[in-house]
Amino acid sequence: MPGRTVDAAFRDFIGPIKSAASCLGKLALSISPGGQNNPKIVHSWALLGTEGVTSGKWTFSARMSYKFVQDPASTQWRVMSVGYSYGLAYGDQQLWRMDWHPTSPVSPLPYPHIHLSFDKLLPETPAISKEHLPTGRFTFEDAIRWAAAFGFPMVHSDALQRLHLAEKDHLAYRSWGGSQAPDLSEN
Amino acid sequence: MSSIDSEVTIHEVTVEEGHLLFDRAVMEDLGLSGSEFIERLETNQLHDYSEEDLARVVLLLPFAA
Repeated sequence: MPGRTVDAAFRDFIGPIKSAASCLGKLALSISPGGQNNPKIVHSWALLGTEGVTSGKWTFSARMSYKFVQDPASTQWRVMSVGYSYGLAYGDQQLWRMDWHPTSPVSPLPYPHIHLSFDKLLPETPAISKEHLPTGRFTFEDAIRWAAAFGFPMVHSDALQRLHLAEKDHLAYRSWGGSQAPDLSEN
Repeated sequence: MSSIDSEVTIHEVTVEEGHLLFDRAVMEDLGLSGSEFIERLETNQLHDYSEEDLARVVLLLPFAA
């Protein structure tokens, strides 16, 4: 979502992320130095340091890199995500990880993908965690919906509604393709 | 929104905190110190690690700036 200033652009960017994250519990988002108002460098945020949120045996982790972009015509600023990694683990089983790191110097994979694996919980299934299964881009809200569907406890009964509202503005202004999020809050 | 704001806080780390956070994450993900990771990244000496683990760490490089 575009904002008039860098500060406003950051607030517009982080507001929906905070709303979505509130479904996971009381927590903190760590922002890299200058990440609220320095448009000259790429930034990152991560949940609770980098270790993610735990609930019982569940661990949900999230980290995203982003940058400030100024529209040359309107001079308005917006924040654009440039990479993410969202994951869900149960005990020592990493069930899935949604990754997108198109500018990473260490990975030749520019497309979003998911790593799936259930072999520790279900030994008869293949160990395919190294496979890069291509996907469209996932939102942070998508990842929390997946976590909820797998069983990670949401702390609010209206979590799906919160996620829908948080995602609405982001989807309205995003510049990338992918699946449109249906309103699942009534289901 | 006030209730949500009180549930989720934003902490912009200092440069020192950022280095500590990055160091801890790299140690957890790769068993390397943050400075060792950066040195190996710059000299292309990370062949022993999986691309996906490396890519996850690279997302956090702004904390080490």
